[in-house]
Amino acid sequence: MADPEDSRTPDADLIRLSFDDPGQFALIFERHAGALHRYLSKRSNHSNVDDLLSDTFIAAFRGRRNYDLTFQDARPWLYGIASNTLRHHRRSEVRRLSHEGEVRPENSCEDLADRVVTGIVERDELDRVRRAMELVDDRFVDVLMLIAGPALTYEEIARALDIPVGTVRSRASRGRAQLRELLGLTGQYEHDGVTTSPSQPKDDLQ
Amino acid sequence: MTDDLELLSRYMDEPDGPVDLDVARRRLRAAIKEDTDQTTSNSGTLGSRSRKRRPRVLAAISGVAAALIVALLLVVTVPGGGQHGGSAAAATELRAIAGNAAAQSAPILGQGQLLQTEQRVSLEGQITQLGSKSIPNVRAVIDGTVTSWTDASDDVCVSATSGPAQFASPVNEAAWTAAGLVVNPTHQPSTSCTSSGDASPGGGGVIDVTGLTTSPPSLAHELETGTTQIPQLDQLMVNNQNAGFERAAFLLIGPTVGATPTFRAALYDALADIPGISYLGGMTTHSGASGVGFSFRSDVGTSVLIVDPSSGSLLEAQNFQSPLSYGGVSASYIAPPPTASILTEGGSGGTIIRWLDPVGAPAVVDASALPAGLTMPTPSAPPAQVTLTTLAGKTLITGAPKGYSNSSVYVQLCPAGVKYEPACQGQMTASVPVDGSYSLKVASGSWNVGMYYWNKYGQQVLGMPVSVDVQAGRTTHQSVEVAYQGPAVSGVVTLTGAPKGFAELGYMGVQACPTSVQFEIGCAGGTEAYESIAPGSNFSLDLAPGSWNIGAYYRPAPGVAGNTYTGSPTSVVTNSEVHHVNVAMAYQGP
Repeated sequence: MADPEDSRTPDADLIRLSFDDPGQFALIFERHAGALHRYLSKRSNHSNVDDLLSDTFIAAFRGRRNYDLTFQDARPWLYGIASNTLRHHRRSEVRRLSHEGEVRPENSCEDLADRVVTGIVERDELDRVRRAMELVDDRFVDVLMLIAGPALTYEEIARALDIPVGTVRSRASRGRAQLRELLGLTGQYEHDGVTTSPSQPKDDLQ
Repeated sequence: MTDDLELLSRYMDEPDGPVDLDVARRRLRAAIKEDTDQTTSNSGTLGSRSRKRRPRVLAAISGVAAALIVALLLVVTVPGGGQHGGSAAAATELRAIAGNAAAQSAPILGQGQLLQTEQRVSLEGQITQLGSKSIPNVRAVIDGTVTSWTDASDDVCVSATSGPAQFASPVNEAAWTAAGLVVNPTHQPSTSCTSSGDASPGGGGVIDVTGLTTSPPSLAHELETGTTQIPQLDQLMVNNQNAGFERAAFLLIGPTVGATPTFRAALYDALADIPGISYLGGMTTHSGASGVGFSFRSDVGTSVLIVDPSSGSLLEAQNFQSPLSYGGVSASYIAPPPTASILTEGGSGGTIIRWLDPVGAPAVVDASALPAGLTMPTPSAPPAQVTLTTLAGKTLITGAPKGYSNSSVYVQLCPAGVKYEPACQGQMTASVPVDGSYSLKVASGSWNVGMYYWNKYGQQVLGMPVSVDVQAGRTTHQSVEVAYQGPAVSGVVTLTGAPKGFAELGYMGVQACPTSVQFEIGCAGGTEAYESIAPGSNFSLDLAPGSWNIGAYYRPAPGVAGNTYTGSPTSVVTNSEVHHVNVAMAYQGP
């Protein structure tokens, strides 16, 4: 039996084993569930996280035969499934709540600049980040959080979200510009060696 | 100044109270149990059905299933650092084995005598793509035996017999059949004979090692960098930076010609020079033989070699990616046209050697031992002495996007007068840089030299070859290039009625969605372009072959949430060519 704590046993080998011995997939859960729980908890309200985590791992388990065994680290695959699961949950939630008249669909137009000035001047720095991330474009949030959370590389994020690497770079750049604007951070920052101003989110950094 | 990503990282790492994974753990376990029960139940059903039709096969399936689990467990439990020792211990053992291998005497074959070797092998075959479509679950285990006979001239005959495809579940069996594959292989046994002069390079399953260096450091370097000039070896795991162990293993697995005791000793010494090999100590093979094991963990998993330390004989190879031509077993499972299959549709797949055991020691037999229908190639006249000359030049994929790289780019040389194609009886390089250089040793004469690459969709893009006359003893320079094909769709995007200054404030994007999903911004499986796209500017999208809907959207100003999409998407079916699609939108206000 492979040791779940043995980081030298690649995820790909465990997944491959699980083709014939499904129980081996439990080791993938033990290895990655904690980090995915943390990621999902930042992307959703707390009451949903258990469901999201369950759905993510059950979807991964049922789709394990489609896993590309040439990649030893399963994290990009798992985070990609988690991002899809989040998207599905949100669509269902928006549909449900829209019917009930409780909430507007996300991404409805809103003057973010005003919110920056009036709403996000709070004492707790991390709470400010949380509030700002709620206002960053959803497509950018996926990329930003996969960079800042599990520290996936651009290539891994591209694989996770099934988008070109250039798009990942671009979304990272635009997302950071939005985030900096929302956080009221001024000045320039370096992205892939190119200096960008947050007031110019329409970048050309690829 | 606090960095935004630093703040975000701190936020992401901040614990959100106690983490309870039990709910998810319980649900996953339930799903696993359900799957296990279903598999067991299905196996029972399959077994019952099979019992009536092929009782002997059923017994084989049970044995193989058990063997599969054992084999894989062996593979994954191999400690990376070496239970018995890391690279240093492995190097010491390998050098000792090299000494013993050098002391072996090569069997001397008399007139009419052959050296017979036999191997049992268990393969896992898989097809992942048929045509442009990804296909899951096409996977089977295939057991077989490979017998080879070599004569004193190093001519080789090979006979491979493979059994029925065995499936882990009925789902696999159904997918296998649907992909145009058959359960019972045709044309059994699969046989071939190769004259020593025709052994690699040039294809076939036999590797001629007579031209390889016996200097261990040089051999190690050539194996690690894929520069042996033996295509079967150099192309093996060409995308993997650590394929030296695998390439060396295939020289042990064979069939080879010209593998003298001196060469085998050099091979073990070369292995000792390859970093990352672990010594596993005593191990037992599937056939029950005892030897010592060595493992190597590459990007595609952990491979193991078990060898007899007293002679250097290979006892078992586990978990190796198989060369495409291995034993000819896989082609036997492809249904003949007109059945749609990987043969008619194209596609991709692979074969993994789960384990391979030589059976007994090689034996000297009479020519009469050769099966009926097989004839050793008649000795041909010794080839004329050929002086090889260097042909070198630059390589370039023209029009490739900035930063484009590809590890599947090759320079191909075909004799003048024959059809120029990668399969011609010519010569090819190992993979070359997109923008770099190549060098080949070739015979003098007229050649066509060109370049091709495999794009990320598995399509071969072949450039126009250039004629070149190579004169003996004089290095010839000829650059080669191929035009980058892609992106799949390009065109102009226009936005009418946009306010003045829109390009500075707002931005536009072009979205492509597979026709199988609803067209929307950020659709599943889609891709988009929004780099430097403004009214009237060009866009380009790199798309996999298939059916797509293309549409454009705009966002009126930075910081304003929500995209505005207007118009109807345009449908396009992509292949390896560039399609032109212009997309127009009418501005509708922020």
